[in-house]
Amino acid sequence: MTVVIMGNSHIGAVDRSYDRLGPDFEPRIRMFTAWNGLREADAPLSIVRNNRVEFLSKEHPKHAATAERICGKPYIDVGGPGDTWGLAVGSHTTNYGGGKWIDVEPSAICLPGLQPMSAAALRASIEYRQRYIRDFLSRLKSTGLRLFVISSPYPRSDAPGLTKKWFRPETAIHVDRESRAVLRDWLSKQGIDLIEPPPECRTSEGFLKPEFRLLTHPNGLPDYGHGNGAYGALMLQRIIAYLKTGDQNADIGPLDSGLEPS
Amino acid sequence: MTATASGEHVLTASLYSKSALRAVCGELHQRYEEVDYFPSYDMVASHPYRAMFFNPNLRSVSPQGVDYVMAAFLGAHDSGDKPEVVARPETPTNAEVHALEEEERAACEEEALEAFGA
Repeated sequence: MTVVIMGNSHIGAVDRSYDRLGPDFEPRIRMFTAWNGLREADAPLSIVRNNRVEFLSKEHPKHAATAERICGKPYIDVGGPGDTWGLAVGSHTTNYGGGKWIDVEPSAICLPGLQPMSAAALRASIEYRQRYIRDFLSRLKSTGLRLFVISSPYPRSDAPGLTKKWFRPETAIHVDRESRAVLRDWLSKQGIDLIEPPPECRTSEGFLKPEFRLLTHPNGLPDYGHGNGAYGALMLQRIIAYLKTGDQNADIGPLDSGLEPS
Repeated sequence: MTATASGEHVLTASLYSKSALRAVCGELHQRYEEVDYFPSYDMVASHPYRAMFFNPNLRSVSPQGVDYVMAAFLGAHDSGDKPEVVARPETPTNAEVHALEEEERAACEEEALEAFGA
């Protein structure tokens, strides 16, 4: 079985855990990033042409170089029926990050004095932001691949927009939940499975638990959006369980002692 | 609008888009008995008001304009007690928001390069 996992930066944590399983672990997975998750709503991600996936994102030279190093080519051959592809798409930070929710709140939770956005408008805006994701997934699925989607982690309560009080935690959670629901509904209609984040990583409010946060990068750059190695280990566990059982909610327990959260 | 992808001059494109939206509102109001039209756009943008509710950039509406419109709206709809306006503890500048979004983008790139970069 050929398994390819590609997508946004949230597969970084998963890949680091996979590497620790060693070269003999089955199934073998080719894993790499192919675009910046913050660009998912801005432009087409990649195209499927001549039975290959080519990169289109602004940073595509870097991602194409990664693919070339891993696959031997600056693009990816699609393969055929029987192959399995996992796509990490639907980055939560694109939905609630930056300055999108400073003056506006979803009408269901809107405080007086702020501009309410109706549920229908919110859903329409989410669908608009997911249009390139949908197009890419549809094209990939039409090749006959077995396809599944890997969720991004839960929102982080230490995101700067929240700690600076530019918008409320309730807004981030509401928008994130709606974004996931819209994507989940669409994937379900397309017959594409979805691997949700590990529920044990979620606080009662819906945020990523602090012990699963990636805090800084080796170069000192702070991080407010990604999961750490412990998160990646649990997410990989869910992905492997899915690959082995075909059940998107399967739980087969820890893969080995080396992947226990640390 | 400050820019348009329509190929038209931004002035004509802006007036066209607002006119189209106003026409849609008018049609919905005329067609459906349960749909009302509140003329907030007309109160701010029409010529009797001499553009006095616009900020110096002549594009965004001033707080005085918003207050004027909302007073008319709440007065017309008998909203009862005026709701307490919740002010944000911090209102960021555009530069701060841009800086934050750049930081988020950089973190995503860094995470990808760390895991898969050369």
